[in-house]
Amino acid sequence: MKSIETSSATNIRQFYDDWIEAGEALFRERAVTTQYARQVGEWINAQVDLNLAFGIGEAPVCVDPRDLKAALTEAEAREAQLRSELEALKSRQKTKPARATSRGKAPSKTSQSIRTDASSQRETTLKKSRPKS
Amino acid sequence: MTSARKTAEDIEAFTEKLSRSLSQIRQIGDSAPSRSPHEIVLTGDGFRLLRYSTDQPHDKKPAVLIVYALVNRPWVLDLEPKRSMIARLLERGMDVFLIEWLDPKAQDRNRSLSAYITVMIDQCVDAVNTARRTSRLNLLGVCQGGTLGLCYAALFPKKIKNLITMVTPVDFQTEDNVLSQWVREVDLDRLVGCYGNVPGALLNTLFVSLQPFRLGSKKYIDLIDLADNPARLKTFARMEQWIADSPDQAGTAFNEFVGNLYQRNALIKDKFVVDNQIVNLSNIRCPVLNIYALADHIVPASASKALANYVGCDDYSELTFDGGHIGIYVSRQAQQRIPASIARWILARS
Repeated sequence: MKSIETSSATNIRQFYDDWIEAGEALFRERAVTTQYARQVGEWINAQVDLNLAFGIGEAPVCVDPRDLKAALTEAEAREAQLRSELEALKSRQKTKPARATSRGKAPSKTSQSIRTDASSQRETTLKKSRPKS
Repeated sequence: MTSARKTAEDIEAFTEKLSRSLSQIRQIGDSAPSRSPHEIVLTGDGFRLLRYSTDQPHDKKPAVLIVYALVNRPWVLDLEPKRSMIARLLERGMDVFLIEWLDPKAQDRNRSLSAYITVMIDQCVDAVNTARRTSRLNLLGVCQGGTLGLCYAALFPKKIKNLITMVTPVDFQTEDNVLSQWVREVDLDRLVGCYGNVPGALLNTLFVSLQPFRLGSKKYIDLIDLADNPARLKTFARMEQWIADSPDQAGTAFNEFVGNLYQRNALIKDKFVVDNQIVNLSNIRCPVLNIYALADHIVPASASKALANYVGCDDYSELTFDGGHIGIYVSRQAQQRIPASIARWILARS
């Protein structure tokens, strides 16, 4: 950051540019402090409160605290994870009997990975059917 | 000459030039963007899908679907013939599509991010693929649109051939992310409860506040450098119009985006849920080109660079631009470099 005191500006425009640069750099330092960030948040919240006080918009009936919101995000993610695991289990269950009956089809790349199960099932089926024939 | 006298003369010349620029800018007249020719391919609830025209047949060209941010207008990518990323992509042989988000109406306040990602973007992807009789396309996500694009690519990996992200936030809580620090304490439920759809003007104030000296004062003083240059004054007027023209944000989608991403950084923690599914960036296995600006004050480079740690692809490339968040769309340097690099990267993978 250039210092205004040590500015080598030779005209008013250069001096102005140095002033802007110095101001912006100083502002950047302050802008990332927790204190400043909190104040910006409070400023936005105050604008909202002012609007609500004047009857603009509707205040939500219940505002969840921040930690509850974070817990909700976690819970939603966990639910989505469990849901996807359940779907995977369901589709695996569906796939097993389907493989056992689809004898003549050439296995695709995905079906290859479960072929061991499918072929062992088919083997079992054949063994069981032998006495009948 | 005494320094006091020289200063007085400087100020006089400065003021005279500034007032001349201001008077010229008033005479510019229409400063609407001169958009490249296009047709509307699809209109849905909340969006329009545009396809840009060229003289040559589209079919053999790689299709690029641009997903722009919700918080600004996409026409900054097509500001005027010499400053148009879209025109440059067309020149490089791309078949360019763009999703143009329509302003949310009062009744859209409950529209969620899921509606944008799994309904609107998906409808556009399908429409592009249908028009071109293909099953996959190249998706170019810009700024917030890049985050939406990443979510889409993670949820629908089979529909994306190559993914390009441009000034896209991924890690929303890097140390130098000023915007992220500022919005941590905002009570989003009350904000959305109060406004319904969040006013674009409120967001604009916040964006300008990030660089108060430069954006609130210096850029207007710099007008004196544009005196007697009508073309550049017109560009300036167009940029001003673009900056001021921020659409309102659908309340629920805004709450989800800022709450889950800026306040809780859920995307990189595998906790971001869209349409009951976790957005897992490691599902993205297609080639990825991540473009970011080194002096970006809205989406710091650190926020974009993080993508490398989370995508599941082997073919990951980065392109850096020595400039800022807006310069990467419109500056001469960007016009020469970015679209050409994107086109080259796509052609090498087509």
